[in-house]
Amino acid sequence: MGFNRMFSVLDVSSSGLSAERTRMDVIAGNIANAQTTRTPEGGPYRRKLVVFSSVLDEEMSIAESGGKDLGGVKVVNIVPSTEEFQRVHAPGHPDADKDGYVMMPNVNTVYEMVDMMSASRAYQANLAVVDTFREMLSRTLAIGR
Amino acid sequence: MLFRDVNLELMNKVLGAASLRHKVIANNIANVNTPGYRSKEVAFDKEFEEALGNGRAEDALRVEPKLFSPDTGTTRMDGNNVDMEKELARLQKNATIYNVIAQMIGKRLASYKEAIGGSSD
Repeated sequence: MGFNRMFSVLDVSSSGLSAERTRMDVIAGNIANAQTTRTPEGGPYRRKLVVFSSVLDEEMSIAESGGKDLGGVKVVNIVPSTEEFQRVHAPGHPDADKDGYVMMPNVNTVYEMVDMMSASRAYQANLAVVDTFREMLSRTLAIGR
Repeated sequence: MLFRDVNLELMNKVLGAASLRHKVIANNIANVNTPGYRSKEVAFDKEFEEALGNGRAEDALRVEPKLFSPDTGTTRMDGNNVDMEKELARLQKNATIYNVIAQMIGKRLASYKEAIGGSSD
């Protein structure tokens, strides 16, 4: 294991931190736009979802059999949700149709809050790994003392 | 080779396995929200202890840590079977083992130093 490989745990954990933070950003965007009826693409705001994928670690030595699978995680795509828009009766709304209905975004703030908690807990767990690694590293350095 | 310390080599082996296991756990936790991801584990302890228990230190030194995905089911809709609590518990356990072994190696090297030079400071 080369010297750089020693810190590869940090690469894995930081990929997790960064992926969860991206998810948090997307959730924040969804909640902020929960009432947005006009978008550049036309129509109401569409809820966005992140797509996670695990990553291969190409540098991993062959000696550690199967170790190539340990490349962490990355966000491969941010896709709009295909759920139906909500149809709300609001005759006074400037975007209401002739029957007085407005198409509202397909964002359900309750779902977003649950996702937000899940992202936040996963972020904390990744941080816990980094913390533990730091302690292990200091013990490793103590061998030389 | 001037001298050979099998115990030191054995401790190195355990440290290496613990180091790999830490990375595996880190990877499992990083992928806790990846659909279809199967949690991974390191197989090492059982084989290593068996070889040691039979008094075959040379065999124990040849044991290589291997990655495998345990065949545990999942209740999650996305097919991911990472159990966050289990991973965090294993993380603590593995770190404790790592720290203890690292300390033991340090102590052993310090005792050599003392034997050679008189003072270990």
